[in-house]
Amino acid sequence: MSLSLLDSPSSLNSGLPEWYLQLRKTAWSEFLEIPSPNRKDENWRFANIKKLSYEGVNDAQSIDGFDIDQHLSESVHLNSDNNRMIFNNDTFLYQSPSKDDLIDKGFIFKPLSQALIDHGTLIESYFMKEKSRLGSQKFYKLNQARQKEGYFIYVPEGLEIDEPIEVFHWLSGKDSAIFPYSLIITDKKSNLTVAEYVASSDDQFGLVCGVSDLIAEDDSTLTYVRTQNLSEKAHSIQSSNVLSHRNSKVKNFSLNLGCDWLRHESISRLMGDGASSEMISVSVPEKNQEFDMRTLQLHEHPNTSSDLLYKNALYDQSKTTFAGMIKVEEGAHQTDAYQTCRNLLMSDKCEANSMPGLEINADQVKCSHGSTSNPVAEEELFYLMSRGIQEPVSRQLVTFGFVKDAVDRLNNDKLEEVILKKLERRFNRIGLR
Amino acid sequence: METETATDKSIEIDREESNFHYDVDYKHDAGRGLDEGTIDYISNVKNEDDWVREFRQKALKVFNEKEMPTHWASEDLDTINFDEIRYYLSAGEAPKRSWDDVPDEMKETFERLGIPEKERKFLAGVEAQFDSEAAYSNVKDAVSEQGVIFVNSSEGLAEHADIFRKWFGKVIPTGDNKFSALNSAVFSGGSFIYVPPGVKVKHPLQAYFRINAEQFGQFERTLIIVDEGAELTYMEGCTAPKFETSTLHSAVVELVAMKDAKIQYITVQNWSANVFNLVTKRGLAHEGAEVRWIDCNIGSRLTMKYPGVVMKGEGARGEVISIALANDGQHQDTGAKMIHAANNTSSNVVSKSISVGEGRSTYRGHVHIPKHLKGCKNNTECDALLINSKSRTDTYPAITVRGNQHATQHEASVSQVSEEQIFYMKQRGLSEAEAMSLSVNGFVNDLVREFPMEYSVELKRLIDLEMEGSVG
Repeated sequence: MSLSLLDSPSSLNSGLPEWYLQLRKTAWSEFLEIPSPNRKDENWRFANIKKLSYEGVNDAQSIDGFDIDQHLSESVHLNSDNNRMIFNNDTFLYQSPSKDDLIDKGFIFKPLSQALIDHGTLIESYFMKEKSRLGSQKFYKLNQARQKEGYFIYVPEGLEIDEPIEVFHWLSGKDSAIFPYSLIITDKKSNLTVAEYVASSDDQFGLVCGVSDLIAEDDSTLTYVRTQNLSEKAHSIQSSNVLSHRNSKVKNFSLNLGCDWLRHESISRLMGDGASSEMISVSVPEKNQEFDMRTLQLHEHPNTSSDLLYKNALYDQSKTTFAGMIKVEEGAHQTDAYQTCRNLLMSDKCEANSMPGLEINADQVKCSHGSTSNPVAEEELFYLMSRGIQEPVSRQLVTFGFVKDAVDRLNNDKLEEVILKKLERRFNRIGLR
Repeated sequence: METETATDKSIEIDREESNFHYDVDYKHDAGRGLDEGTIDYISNVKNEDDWVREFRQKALKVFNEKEMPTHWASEDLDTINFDEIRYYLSAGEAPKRSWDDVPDEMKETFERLGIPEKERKFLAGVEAQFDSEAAYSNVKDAVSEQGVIFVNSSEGLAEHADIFRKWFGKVIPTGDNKFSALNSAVFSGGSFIYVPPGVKVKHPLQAYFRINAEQFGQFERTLIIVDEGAELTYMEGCTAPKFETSTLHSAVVELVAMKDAKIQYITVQNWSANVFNLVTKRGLAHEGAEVRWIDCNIGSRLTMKYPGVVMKGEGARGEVISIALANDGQHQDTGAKMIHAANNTSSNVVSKSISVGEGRSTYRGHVHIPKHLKGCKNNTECDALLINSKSRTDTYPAITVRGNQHATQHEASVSQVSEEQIFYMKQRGLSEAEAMSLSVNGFVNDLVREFPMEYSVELKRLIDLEMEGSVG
């Protein structure tokens, strides 16, 4: 009989801190206790709950002879080998040597299993403190219970790291499941950009159940870009939590291309004066892909701002659900919060669900949300066609422009180039319609 | 209980004769609580046909089976004690209350709204307003010449079953939600209207005239059918606060607009602060037809009301225009439901809410555009105004679009009355409260214009009143 996700997790390497092992144990019993989402749960409205089956899924096993160079050469990423870390099936494979001067200044960039041993106390004070507020409690706990690997980044006070850090997660083999965890802390007045690539190395079914905790301390700047290009059969459940403290600036960008079904929950907590958070997402689903995205902009402190832009271009029978909430808590006056979801409908069989929400409990608040679902505008097509560009080409150009608008928000030429290249590949594959 | 004195004799009352008269000396009271006996009692009093009895009994079962929708709605619903409620009190009951029982603040509000002496007593539920009966008769005579049927629900089902039965419970099925099931079980009162093909009813029909002839119902049921090419405007409620001792109001309103027909349904409601107002309203628009809901909700402890339009025929249009004002201890949970079920249908929702003091207003929307349709359009705008630092507002829209031949847009904003605006007005000699009122009136002004003139004037005054004491 094969292993299954419902069997208890296997034991871990020795040397891990006691608190971590204890949490892991508790998380497992909590996972078993928490009921699976049901139809009546508002957080799962419009969701395809049938997809939440883990029959036959196992913890991914490490693979001998995984060809890193080949996979790198086939994927789009930044060109420098500085600050790079690579995983396959939750097994750490490679890290480019960090520069000594950074390490001397206290910079930490390590695989989770190692970091827990070396920096257990530091990690403990930040590790998975967040509640899962958008419906995926069960899977949040599953991640915690099955976690094997991930990475930890700590940027000490005042340190500014210009070169983006790159992390690669590959998933291989049929019915493999990985549970990556990312913990990124930018201490006071520091600056960091992280690009995380999650992809399949084959076209098999697999599961990624990931959690990322991003903590931006006072006056720090953190940009986190996650691109997901798993196989067409894969499932993914991702939770990301942003804690934005006083005067910090966080940008959380995600690009979703792969997966048969994915659930993406993203929370930004605005916790100090002047804190600001941007949440940007681009998705180009096709065929029968289903993308289910839930977001929360949680304003807990006065004088904070958040801005969300989610763009979906839907082809074929694809389906997207966007449920966004801006919550301004009591006393969080002078809040500026914006939320925009735009769906570009590219076929007569796609389906876009939007639930943009607001809950306002404070005064002197500027909040707005907008949501649109439209086909490519006739005028835009006409404009291009009257200049001699054929209709299918015009259509693709307009669509590309539609998603590029969100990518531009990154304000980082190199990263924008990477994202646009990935999108280009996508549009080329979809072809002219 | 001295009011529980109904006897079988009452069943024999000739409804035709006594219809719309007050000076009948019977009283019916089904007592507190709800079971099959209550339903039988109501059916007996109304001398209903078997199919109506069965309809009610079935509805009761559905009501009992359905859970409270607290997984998405306010948990305040759980405080409703269904065993304490009187489900049927017929005419002759309420006027027994005396003018002295009416709270002073209510009297003062009447005074300041400028409501005529006689109407005040009626609105406070202490006296029937006999004048309006004459008015109702006049209206009834005038429209019946054109073939319009304008009756109450019992009469509609008894005398015009051929017309009304076809659509009764079809736009809003019993099982739509727990409260539509409750209404289907115990409904009484409400209007049944039929407008024949091509008839354009010039003056708005007012529930105000008709309903008072049998007291405002707690569970009124309204069904309006406007036949091909005909037009109707219907108004219910009034801007004055209604003094209610009953705590649960649960109405069902069904509108059917046949090909190219137009229906405009205008509601202004101002409930006292102890009332749960849980209303299901939906219109069915056939080819080329138009259904417009114009809705103003003020007062109540909790209002849940999401007028909807099912656009069933090509080119049908649906619209919801709503204003909600929530003051201390009040929750206005309102919205709109737009179901597109044919090509080239379009819908529009404009909602404005104002939260004062610790009031909370909520917008819930649902827009559905299914597969294989073409050219459907929806526009939704919701704006919320927060007056005080403890005021609260929420927006929960849900929009589903399938296929690429449609266009939807949704926009919502939350704002305050700007300090510059207030400063500007104060500089010109207005008090802060006046400035605030003016500002709030400005916020809803473009919607208030959609209401008939007499309503819009009163609405403005009412907003002035509600805004009092909200600043400083």
